[in-house]
Amino acid sequence: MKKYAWAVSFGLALTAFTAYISLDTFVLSSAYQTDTAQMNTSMFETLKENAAARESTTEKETKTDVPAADSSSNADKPTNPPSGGSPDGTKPKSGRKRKPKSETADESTKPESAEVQTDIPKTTVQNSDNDYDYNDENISIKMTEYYRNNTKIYVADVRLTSAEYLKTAFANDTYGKNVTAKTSETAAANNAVLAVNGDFYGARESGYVIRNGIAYRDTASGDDLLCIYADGTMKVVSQYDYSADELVSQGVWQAFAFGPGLVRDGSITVSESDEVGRAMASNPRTAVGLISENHYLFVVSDGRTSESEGLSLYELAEFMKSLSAETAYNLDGGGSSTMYFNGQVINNPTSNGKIKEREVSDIVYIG
Amino acid sequence: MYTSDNKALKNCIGHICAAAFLAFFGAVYEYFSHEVYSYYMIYAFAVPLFFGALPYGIAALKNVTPHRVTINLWNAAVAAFAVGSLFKGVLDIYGTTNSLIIVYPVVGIILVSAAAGAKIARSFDRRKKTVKVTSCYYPIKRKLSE
Repeated sequence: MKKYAWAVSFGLALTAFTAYISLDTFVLSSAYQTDTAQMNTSMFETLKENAAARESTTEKETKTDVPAADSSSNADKPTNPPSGGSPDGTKPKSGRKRKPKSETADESTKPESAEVQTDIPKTTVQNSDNDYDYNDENISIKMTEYYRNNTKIYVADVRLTSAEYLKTAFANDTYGKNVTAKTSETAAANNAVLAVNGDFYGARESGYVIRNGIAYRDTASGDDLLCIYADGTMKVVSQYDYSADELVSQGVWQAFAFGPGLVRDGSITVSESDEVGRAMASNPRTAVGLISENHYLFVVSDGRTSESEGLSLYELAEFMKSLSAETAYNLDGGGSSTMYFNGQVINNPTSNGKIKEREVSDIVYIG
Repeated sequence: MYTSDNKALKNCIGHICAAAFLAFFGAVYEYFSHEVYSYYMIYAFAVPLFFGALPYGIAALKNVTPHRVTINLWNAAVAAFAVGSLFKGVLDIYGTTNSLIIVYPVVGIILVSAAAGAKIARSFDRRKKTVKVTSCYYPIKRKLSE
């Protein structure tokens, strides 16, 4: 027995340590910051001030050039009235109304960016009588289902009057490790109209976490970083080029560290062999894209089922490009891929081989 | 050929079994991981195969029997590396990280160094004993001849 004392003791120590590290990775939760509902909307105020200053300058110039011109212009009115949202960070008011698909929003309620009509192919539009459209004074969402590469793909074409309606939320309103909740639960808690899973920041120990204008994690990782700016633009950058605080000071409203970037300046940036870390081929995917300022795409594909094979990164990039995305970025996929719209999960999330929603750290939502 | 005293051969067979188990475990894990793969998981079996079975196999062929302390330390190092590789594979496939994973290679390197130290100390000790025996042999011989 003495002969095996060392082997037994070391084996037990190794097993105990492995059990601890497993619990630490997958089970034990630690909250780094609670009550994360606060938002740093100062960047939007700056934008509004700048816009107002620009308009007043333009008006003055117009007055100087054409003294007889009608002075009852709308120069004093903000470009994007924040009527539906809440710059102070509180939850949106319930003044929005969902309109039937047949009804189109009149000119006064249409978001400004809606004037730019893009040629999104409506190859497969299912359930057209259902709640697949949403319009209010600041948000316009059009849901479309596609079937490409043996995969069901859900696309939300989102137009906003301001990027402040594109928000993020942490599970259980807490920033931390192993703090998770279902996308639908977090979305419902935040009165989201549309939501998709985020980058699952809680599963990694590095990678910038900038949410609603606040930098939560400033540890860079090698992953591409998607920056959504307050001015409604989107850019994929390297985390080693800027610190998280620098990005916030540059006007980054949301940042996601997952990737890779799929499309940049309208060109596909992944090859057919590129994959997310170790994910080899077809899988459920979640992606966000930008067509033009404040005109976003949220895409979720099913996968790992007999009806839906799933997409490779290249297929997803091609699809995003076909939707006229100038910039597109891959978020956490696989079992995490979930799209929530108007109070229900509309895709088929697969978790452990079953159609089941997985709990994730964070969501991206419109509301 | 196989005798109960042949520690090297016994250890070689043990490591081949461990490698076979890790290869099987990795294959099953990969099968159910929806084509998400990790080289750490796939090649975890190589650790006991190349750092366990191979050196012990050579030792068995050369009929060298390592000391128990060296064997224990070396086997522990191989176990630390193999389990570390397997766990890293699990983390990779799940898409997560944990900074504590560094403990496995660190412990493995310490144990390998300790095993090497034990081996060196053992051979130094053996040489010392041989020298002692040799040095006392001649006077005895001389005395006998006198």
